[in-house]
Amino acid sequence: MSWQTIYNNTMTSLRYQTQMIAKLQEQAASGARVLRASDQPSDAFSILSLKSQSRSLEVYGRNISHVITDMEQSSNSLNQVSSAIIRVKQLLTQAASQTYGSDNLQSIGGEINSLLEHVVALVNVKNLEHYVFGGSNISELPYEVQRQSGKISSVSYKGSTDPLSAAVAPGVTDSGTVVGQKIFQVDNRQTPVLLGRTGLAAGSGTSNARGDQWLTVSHELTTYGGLSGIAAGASSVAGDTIAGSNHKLYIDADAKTITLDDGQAVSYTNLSEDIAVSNSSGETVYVNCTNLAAGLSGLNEVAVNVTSRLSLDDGATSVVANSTANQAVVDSRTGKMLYVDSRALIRTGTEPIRVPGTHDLFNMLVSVRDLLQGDRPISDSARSDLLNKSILSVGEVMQNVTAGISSLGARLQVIESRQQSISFLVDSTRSQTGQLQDADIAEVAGEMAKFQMFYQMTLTSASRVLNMSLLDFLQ
Amino acid sequence: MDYSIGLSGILAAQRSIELIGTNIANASTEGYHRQDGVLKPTDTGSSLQFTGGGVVFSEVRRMIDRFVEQQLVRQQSNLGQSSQELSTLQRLETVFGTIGTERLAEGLSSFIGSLKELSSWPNSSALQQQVVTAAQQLTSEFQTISSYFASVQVDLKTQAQELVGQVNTLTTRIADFNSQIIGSVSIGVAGNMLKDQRDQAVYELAKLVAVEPDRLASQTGLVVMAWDIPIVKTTQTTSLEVGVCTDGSLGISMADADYFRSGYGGGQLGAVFTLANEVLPDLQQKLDLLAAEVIRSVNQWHVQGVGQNGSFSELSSSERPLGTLDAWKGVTDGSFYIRVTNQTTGEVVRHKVDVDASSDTLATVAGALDGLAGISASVGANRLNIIANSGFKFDFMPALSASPHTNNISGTSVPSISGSYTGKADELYELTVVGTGEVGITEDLAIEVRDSSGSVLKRVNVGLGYAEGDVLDLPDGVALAISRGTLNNGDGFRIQALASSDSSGFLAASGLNTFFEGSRAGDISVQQRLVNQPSNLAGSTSQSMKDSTNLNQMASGLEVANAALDQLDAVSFLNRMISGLGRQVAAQQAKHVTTEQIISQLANRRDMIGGVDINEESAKLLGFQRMYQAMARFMNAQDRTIEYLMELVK
Repeated sequence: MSWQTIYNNTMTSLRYQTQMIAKLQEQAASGARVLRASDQPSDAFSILSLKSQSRSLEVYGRNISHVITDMEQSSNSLNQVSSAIIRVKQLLTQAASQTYGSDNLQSIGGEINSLLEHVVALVNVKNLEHYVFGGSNISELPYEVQRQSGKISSVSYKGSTDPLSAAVAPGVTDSGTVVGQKIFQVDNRQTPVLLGRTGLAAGSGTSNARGDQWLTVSHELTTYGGLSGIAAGASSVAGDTIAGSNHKLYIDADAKTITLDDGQAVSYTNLSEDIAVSNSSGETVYVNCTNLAAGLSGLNEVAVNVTSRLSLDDGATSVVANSTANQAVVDSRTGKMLYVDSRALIRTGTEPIRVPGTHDLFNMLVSVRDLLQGDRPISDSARSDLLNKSILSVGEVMQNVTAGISSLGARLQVIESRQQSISFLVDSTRSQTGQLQDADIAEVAGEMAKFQMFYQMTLTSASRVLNMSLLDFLQ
Repeated sequence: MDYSIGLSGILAAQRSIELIGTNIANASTEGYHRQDGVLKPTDTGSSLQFTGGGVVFSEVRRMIDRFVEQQLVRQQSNLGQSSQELSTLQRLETVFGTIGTERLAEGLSSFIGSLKELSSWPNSSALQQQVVTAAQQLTSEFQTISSYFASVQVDLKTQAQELVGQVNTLTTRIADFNSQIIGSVSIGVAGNMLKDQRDQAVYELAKLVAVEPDRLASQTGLVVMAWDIPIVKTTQTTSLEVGVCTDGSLGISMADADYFRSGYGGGQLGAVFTLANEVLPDLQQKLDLLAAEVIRSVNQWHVQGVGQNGSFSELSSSERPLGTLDAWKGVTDGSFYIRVTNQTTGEVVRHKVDVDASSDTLATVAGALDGLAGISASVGANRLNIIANSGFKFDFMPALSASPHTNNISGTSVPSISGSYTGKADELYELTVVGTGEVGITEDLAIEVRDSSGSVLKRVNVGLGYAEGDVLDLPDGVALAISRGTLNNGDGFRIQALASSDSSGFLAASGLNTFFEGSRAGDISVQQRLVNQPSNLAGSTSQSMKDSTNLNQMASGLEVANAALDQLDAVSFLNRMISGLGRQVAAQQAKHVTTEQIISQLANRRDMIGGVDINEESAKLLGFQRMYQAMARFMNAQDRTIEYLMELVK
C-alpha cells in the first residue's frame, strides 16, 4: 500500500467527516434540519409552501381580529341602541296613556330628543378611526343630521349599501362593519295608513315615502258655481277649512240663511260681507252675500269649488288636490313620493301618515319627539292615537335592530369559529413545518459524536498504518 | 574469467537501489508513478559453453494502468464540472436566503398579505403605507436577485476567460513536455519523470475542460482533444478564447478564428458554459417571468380602480416610445373605457377608446382622448398627459354606468343602474318592458332581462307593488331602479357590464394609474405617485369609490393558478423555483461526492500499481543490498582465485 493511497483514503474520509460535522454543527446551532432547499430538496417545497401558507393565515388572522373588533364595536353600539329604543317605547307608552299634561309630554319629548342625539352618536361611532355603520364607506360619517333651531330635524344615511369586503380566508370575505341602513331602516313596505281627518286615503299606486309623514292640506281658493252671486268672503283664503269637491252650499233666499253641507243654517243679509258658515263636521267657509242675485228666491244649491293644496314637506312645495284616485305628492326634501286618493278630500288640516314596514329609527324618533313637543297642530286624542301607532313603529324598528343584533351575533360566532380554525391551522402549519424543518437535537448530537469518532479513527488508523514500516528494520 | 559478471551485478544492484531511492523520494509526489527496473541476464559470448555473462539493468519501467489513467482523466473533468457548478449554484441559492428568511418569498407573501389586510380597513393610511412599503421591499428583492444574477453572469464570463488562460498555459506546458520527452527518448532516456509531469498537467487540464487524451502516459507524443478541438498535437498547441456566440450565449473558439460555439460540457470551463448559458438564464427567465406576472396581474386591476381620493384631475403615463403601440409589451387590438364625471351635475359619461396596436401611437390615443368632453389630453416628453377640465374628473373604472342606453324608451319613466358587476366577462344585458302602464301603479308591468345570447335571465315587477327608486337585483350584482312615470310594452334599454375596462392592455402598458412600473425583475419598481401618496392606491372599483373590492382582486390575482406560471400561483411558482434550485444544488452535491469517491477509488487502483509502497521498496532495497554485497563477495572470490593463480605462476 502506497503512502499516496493512505493519504488519499485519509483525506477523502476526513473531508467527508468534516463536512458532515460542519453540517451537524449548523443544525445544532440553528435548530433547523433544513436551512437551505438543497439540504432536503424533497421537503423544501413543502416547507416553503407551509411557510407561505402560514404567512397567509397570519394575515387572515389579523383581518379576522379587525373584523371581530369591528363587530364587537357594532354589537356594543347596537345593544345600546336597542336599550335606547326600549326606553323610547316605555316613554311612548307613558305618553300615550293620556294621563300626562303637556309639560310632561314636553319633558318626555325632551328625553326622546336626548335619546335621538345619543343614538345618532352611537351609530356614528368609530372603531380604530373608522366608522362601523357605513358599510364599505368607513371614512365618512354614516349618518348626517340636519338641524333646525339646534334640534335634529332629519337624519340621512350617507354610508354605502355594500358591506366592506375583508379577506378572512382563501376566497372568503367578511365584514365587521354594518350597513346601517339595513339595520335601522325597516324594508317591508306596506300600504300607507292615513290617520288624519282630511278625507284623503292611500292611493292604489305604490308609494316610496317612508316612515312617518305629515301631509298638509291647505286651502287656497274657494269659488262658487251658478249665478247666485255668492262669493268668497275676505277671510275665505285664510279661514276656509273645506277642501275637495264634495261640498255644497245651500242658500235659502226666502229665509235668508245659508247652510254648508249638513251644517247649521246661518242668517245673512245683503250687507253680510264675510260670514262664516260651517257644516256639521266643523268645516267652515267665509262668504260674501253682498252681491247675491236680485231675483234669488227659494232654496238654491250652490256648487262649492275649492282649490286645495297638498304638501308633504310642510308647505315647501305643494300640488293642487285633483280629486283622483292616485295623486302623487312629493317631499322636496327627500324626493320621496306618496300616492293619495284625494277624491274624498273634505277638509284642510294635517294628515299624519304611517307607512308600515318602512320606518327608520332616526326619523321615527324625530317624528315622535315633534309630536310630544307639540310641534304638530293636532288634538290630544289624535296625538294619543299617533303615539300608540308610533309604538308600533318603534316595535318595527326594534324588531329590525334585534334581528341585526342576532345576525351580528351569529356572524360573530361564525367569525370567532373561523378565527379558531385559522388559529388551529396556523398552529398545525407551524407544527408541520417544525416536523419537516426542525432538527432532532438528540439525533444531531448522536450523529455528531459518531462522526467525531470516525474522524479520530481515521487519523488514528492512518497513523498506525504509517508507523508500520520495514524502514525500521533497515540497517 | 573477468570481473564483468560481478561488475554487472554491482552496477545492476546500484542502479536498482538508486531507482528505489527515487521511488521513496517521490513517494508523496503528486502524479509520480513508481518506476521499476528491469534486469536481464547477459551472455558473455563464450563459444564453448554457455556460462552466462552477468546481468544488465535493461530498462526502467513506469508502472501505469492506461485504463485507470484514462478514467481518472475523465473523472477529473466531471469533478471539475461538478465542483464549479456546485459552488456557483450554492452562491445562487444563498441569494434567496435560508428557509425561514427567504427574502423574495417573504416579500411576495407580505405584499399579498398587506393588500388583504388593507381590504379590512381601506382608508387606513398606515395600512396603505404598509402596502407600498411591502411592494417596495418586494421590488427591491427582485432587483437585488436580478442584479446578483447579472453579476454572477459577469463573473462567469470573467472566470471563463481566466480558465481559458489556464487551459492555454497548460496546453503549452504539455506541448513542452512532449517536446522534452521526444528529445529524451531520442537519446535513449525513457523520460518517465517528464511523462509524469506531463500527465499531471493533463490531469490539471482535465479539471478545466473535457479532454480526451490519446496515447496517454506511455507514448512520446500526445494529442489532447478538448471538445473536438485538438488543443495539443504533440508539440503544437491550439489556443482557445472565450467570446459571445451569435445567439448571445457564451462560447469558445480557437484563438483568432472568431467562430464561437456553445453547448460544451465537462471541466470547470464546461460548467461555466452550462451555468452561463443554461442554468443562470433559466433562473433569470423564471425570475423575470414571475416579476412580469406580478406586474401584469396587479396592474391590470390597479389601472381600473381609484384610491380613497376618488377620480382623477390629472394623470400621466410613464415614458413610452412614440412609435406604434405594437412595439410596446402587452398592448393588443382592443379598447379601453374612460369615465368622465361632471362634478356639478354628477353626470358620468363613459367613453370607449378603440386601440389598433399596429397603427395607433401614443399621440393617436391622446388625440382620441382629447376629443372627449370634460378632459384634454396631450403627449409631452414621451408621456401621455390627461387633464380634467375644471369641474370634471375622470377615471377608468369598469363600474356600471348609472344611466343605461335608453334609445328605445317611449315612456316617461327613467331607469337607473347601480351595483357592482361580478361577472367574469363583459356582458350586454337587454331589458325589455312587458306591459304598458305606470310604474308603481299598473298591474303586471314588468321588465325582462336578457343576456347577450337572448336568454331570459330574470323578470322583475315594476308595476303595482314596486315603489319608485326601489332597487331591483339583476344577475351578477347589477341593480336596477325605475323612476315614476310610464313604460310602454316593448320599450327597451341596455346595460353594458364590464368585467374589465381595458381589453387592449393599453392602460397597464402605458403606466397610467399602474401600481408597478417596469417589465421584469431587474427594472420592477413601485410607481412614484403611490410612493409619494399611498392613498392613491386604487382599491376601489365601485361607484362608491370607498370599497375594497379591487384590493381583494389584486391579492387574489396573485393567488390563483396562472397559465403563464405553469398553472401555479405566484408564491408556489417562486417556492418551486427555490426548491428546484435546491434540488439542483443537492444533485450536484451528490454528483460531486460520487465523483470524488470514484476518483478516490481510481486513485487507489492507480496507486496500487503506480504508487510507492515504502515497505515494498524497503524489501527490494534489502534484496539489492544483499545482491550488491553478494556480487562484491563474488568479485572478491574471483579476485582471490586470480590471486591464487598468480601465486602459482610465481
